[in-house]
Amino acid sequence: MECVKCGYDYPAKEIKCPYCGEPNPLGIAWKEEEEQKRAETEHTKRRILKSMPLYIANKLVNVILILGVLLSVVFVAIAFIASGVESALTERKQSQASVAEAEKLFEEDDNAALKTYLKQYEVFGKVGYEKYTERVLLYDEYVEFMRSAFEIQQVLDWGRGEQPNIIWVDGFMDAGHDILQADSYEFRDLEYDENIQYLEEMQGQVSAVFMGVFEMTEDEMKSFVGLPEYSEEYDETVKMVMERKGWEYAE
Amino acid sequence: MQNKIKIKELFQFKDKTGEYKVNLVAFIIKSIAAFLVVLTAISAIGVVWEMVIDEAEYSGQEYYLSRCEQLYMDREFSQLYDNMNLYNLTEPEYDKYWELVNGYQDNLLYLSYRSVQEQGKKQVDFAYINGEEESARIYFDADEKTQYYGNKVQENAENCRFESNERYLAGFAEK
Repeated sequence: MECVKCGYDYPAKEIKCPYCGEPNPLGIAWKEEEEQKRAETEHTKRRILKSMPLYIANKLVNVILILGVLLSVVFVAIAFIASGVESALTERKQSQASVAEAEKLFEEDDNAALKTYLKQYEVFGKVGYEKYTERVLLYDEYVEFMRSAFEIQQVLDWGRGEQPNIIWVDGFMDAGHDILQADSYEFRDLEYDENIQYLEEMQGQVSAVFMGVFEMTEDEMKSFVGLPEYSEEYDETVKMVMERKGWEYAE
Repeated sequence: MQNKIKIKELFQFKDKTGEYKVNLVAFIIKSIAAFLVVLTAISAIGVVWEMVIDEAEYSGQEYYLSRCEQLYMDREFSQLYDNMNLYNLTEPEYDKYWELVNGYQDNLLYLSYRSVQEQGKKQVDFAYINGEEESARIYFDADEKTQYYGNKVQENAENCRFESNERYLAGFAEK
């Protein structure tokens, strides 16, 4: 463009004539426009940078949620398939079990092996194995009692003057009390005579151990069986039998 | 109107160069959900890892056998008995331990019945009210039971299969 003052020809983007210095309104307007655009771009960049973490975080959260949903679907599918496979395996095991084999263990009075057999072939509680299931439930209660009795006897045999831990004595009395009371589901409505006899034998053994080890009398036992657990009288009975053996009772 | 625009700008950003739009309310809800997903995943991995470690370290025949042997050596017959019943350890490898705990049980019952006998009670026969408010009965012949378990203890000692059990079973028989 030509300078309005001196007529010199120079680019329109210049803000003044390079020859005479006359201001060029077009160049000035163009520069202002450039600066405004630059400012807007810088402003936009700043805003993008400020929002970018939020934008990235939003994308990340979306990815996590999608992955979470996919993993859940995969997990449910695996669980479903595994359940099907386990069902098939259980059915196969159960088909291999034999009532005759369970009966053999039952007659041999090998209750530990009977329990293992029922669990191994997953026939515990199943139709056809009710008698053996009943026996194993009683046996578990017996083990609970005998385990505590062993603990006390060990101290008497090798304790070198020590006394049994109150927890074991309490556990022993509780387990014996449960068997004599016969109040829980394992003991109710026994259907099979052999198991009723087994329970009676268990009760006899519990009584013998109470009377033999702790020298309880029949009246003390009758009274003890009727006491609710966790009652003061119950604790008094435990205290009494411990002190009778010369052991210290600590609450 | 300007306040509405400002609030809108607060909750979403839109630009000429592209559409960077983030709705803050939805973002917060999704973030909470994502946090729960990550927490659940970490917990699940932790649980599975612990299960794998436990299974590797505390199960299997080798572990059970060594545990039983340790309890046997320490004369912790109660825990040995409990262990074998809890994990259904009835394979032939555990016969030695069963021989001992069964012998110990017979001995304990023998001592109990004998103690009742020594208290002068030849027969124990009494009725009591059980938990179901029904009459139950305890009956045993102390002489008969003492004889029975006494014989069992002797037989256990005579028919001992495992050398390491001999001293225990013979010791019970001497009582």
